[in-house]
Amino acid sequence: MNVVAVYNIKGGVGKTSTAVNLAALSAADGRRTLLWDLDPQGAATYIFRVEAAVQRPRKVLRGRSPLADAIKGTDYPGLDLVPADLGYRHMDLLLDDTARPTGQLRRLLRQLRGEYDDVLLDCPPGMSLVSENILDAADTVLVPIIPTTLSVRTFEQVTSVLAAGASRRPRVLGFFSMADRRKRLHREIMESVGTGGADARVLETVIPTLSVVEQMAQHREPVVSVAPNSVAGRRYRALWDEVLGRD
Amino acid sequence: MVFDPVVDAGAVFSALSAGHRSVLADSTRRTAIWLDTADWRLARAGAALRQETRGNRRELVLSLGGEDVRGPVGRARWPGPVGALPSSPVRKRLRTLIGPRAVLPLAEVEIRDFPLSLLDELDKTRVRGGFAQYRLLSPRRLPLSPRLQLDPLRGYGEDAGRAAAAVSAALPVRSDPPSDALEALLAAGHRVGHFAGQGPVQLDPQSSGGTGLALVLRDYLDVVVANREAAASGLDSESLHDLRVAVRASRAILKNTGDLLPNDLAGRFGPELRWLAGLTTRARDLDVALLAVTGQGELPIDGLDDRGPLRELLARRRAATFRTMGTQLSGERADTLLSEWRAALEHVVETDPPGATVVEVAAVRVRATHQSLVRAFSRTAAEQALSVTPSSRLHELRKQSKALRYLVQCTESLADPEAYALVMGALKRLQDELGTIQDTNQISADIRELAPRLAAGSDPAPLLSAGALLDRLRTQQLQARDALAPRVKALGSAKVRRAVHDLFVPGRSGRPS
Repeated sequence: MNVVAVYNIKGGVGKTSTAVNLAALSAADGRRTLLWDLDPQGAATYIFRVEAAVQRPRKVLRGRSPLADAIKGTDYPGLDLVPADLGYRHMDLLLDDTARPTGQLRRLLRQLRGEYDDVLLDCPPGMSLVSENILDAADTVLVPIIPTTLSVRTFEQVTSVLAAGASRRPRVLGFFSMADRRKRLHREIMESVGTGGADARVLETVIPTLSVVEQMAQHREPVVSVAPNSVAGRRYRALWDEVLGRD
Repeated sequence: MVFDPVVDAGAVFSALSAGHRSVLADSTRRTAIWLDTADWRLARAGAALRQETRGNRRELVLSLGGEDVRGPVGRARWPGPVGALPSSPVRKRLRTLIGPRAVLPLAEVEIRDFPLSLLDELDKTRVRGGFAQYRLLSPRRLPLSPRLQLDPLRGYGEDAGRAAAAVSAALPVRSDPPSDALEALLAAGHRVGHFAGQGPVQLDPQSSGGTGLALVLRDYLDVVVANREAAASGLDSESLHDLRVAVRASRAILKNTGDLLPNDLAGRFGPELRWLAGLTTRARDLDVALLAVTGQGELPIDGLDDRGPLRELLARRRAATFRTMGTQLSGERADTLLSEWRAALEHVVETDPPGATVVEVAAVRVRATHQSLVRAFSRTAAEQALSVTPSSRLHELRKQSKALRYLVQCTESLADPEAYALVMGALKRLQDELGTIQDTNQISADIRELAPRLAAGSDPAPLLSAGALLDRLRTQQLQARDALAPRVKALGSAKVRRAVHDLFVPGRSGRPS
């Protein structure tokens, strides 16, 4: 089971758009896919038209209720969703309350081994016990980076945190998101950032700022399903191929 | 969920709409041809096979153990052999289930599918499903039960339950319905899983001899009808064999006991049954020869690697013979014979002509036939040793012994089991040797007839191989001839005579006191 966490310390960088579209692509490729909306905002849950759960995470996190019971099928064959829960806003506290706070998400996902080929995690912003769990559970951490100085800095911070961490180190892949080539700053940043090392690198694919991506929430459908041949659709496809090493 | 045939998609859609926003997509059409062997090997194994056609696309679907396995049809046509299918998991499973039998088309159904979705207030799909309307197209036209399938998306099981409850409350749902396969086959007039000749006809000892005879002959007729298409196609050697046995048995029994039937039915239908038997003789001989040459018979063929040209010649001759046989077997004269014969037998069964009871008749006729057979063998053996008796004479004795066997066999339900086993055992062992003598003669004759053509080739190996085959056939025959005398002796032994006498003695199990 391949776990890909779409994560950045900063908010508003395109995490949900990425997670939603890559999950849809994975399912369309015939892979059994699960998207877990870990952000209490529940944007991915909203896009897939699933009702957000209310106050259930305690039992799941404590292992008293199987994670599988929370899963909902989406309208897209092969793609299931663990919807966001308002209770996730207290997830740090809930995790801290468990016997082994770090690694709890990894243990929960292990329950689903054999059921899914790909699990994508739509992660909340910030650096907390939740993000520690996410980084511990993931095989790949995919980091959307808006081509600005501060955003690039957060990519470096994520890389540093992981490098300093314990034995388990996921692969870290950054990519430029919401890029606007009309802006000189964006162009300079994208040209200046190197590809990085073996454990952390910036992918070639760039997701530009596109209104069709912004309108996803309005239409409540992944771009790659509605307009697979659009610029956005093709870019997300290229991104997913690069993540999987199929480029 | 399965409904009465009167229920349509609109009614189901309305019922579902009571609890959900229901969306009905455009309907699509497909056809399904349900397939099985003449002896229902798939049904008896708990499997169902269908060929599905959607537009130009054909696909084979084998349902077994709750799973559907799909595979290509390729250029296969029905009736046809499994070997004609492209290699696939379906073909592999079918080979295991049905062996060499041909696959027959049994019923064709048209299905109109109405895909539907049940959505919630967020326009999220909670349940997917489909309503399917069935109509039997062949061998007759009939509406069949429509079916509704509701599949909840993960996490939405309650929605499917509520939808099903709403439909059940609004529409007549069939309780304990058959599967779509079974319903189609039953509607087409098949007795699924039950094939003619499967077991002895159950006779009522108190029924008249005429009625009992009509029931037996009708069962043989069912065998002929069930195997006719596959036999005519030339694709199923076992079907041809079963058909021939049924016709031969009918003729033998009719000859022995036809006087029990009213209106000179024996006189009317005897010649036509002889014609029917004659249609298949040559085809069967060539089948046996080809099976022997290809190593599928009992003749050892090890070391005979150059049988290819002989096999080709036999195969071509067989194909031509089967074409002629197939045309006649499928033709109008056969149609008329089979339908009129059935009507006549049904009439006898319905009217139950008076006369001695079937068990009384069986006792007298079996004893007389046995006695006659034993005497015939004695006379023959008195003239010369059975091991050197001319084949033609042995062939006549073989026919007489078969007549006795069929007579005993068809009255099995009236017979004492021990006595039956003893008599049939003796008869079978005798007929095995007589059958080997007859078969080896016929195969040898066929090979000799083709020898000049083998000799005309530049390579002598095939002719030498054919010669070696003839040698082995002769060895087989000599062995069978040597075994004849003890078999004949056993048939006439006191033990078997007593068993023949005791077959239908009143008071034993199965017979009236």
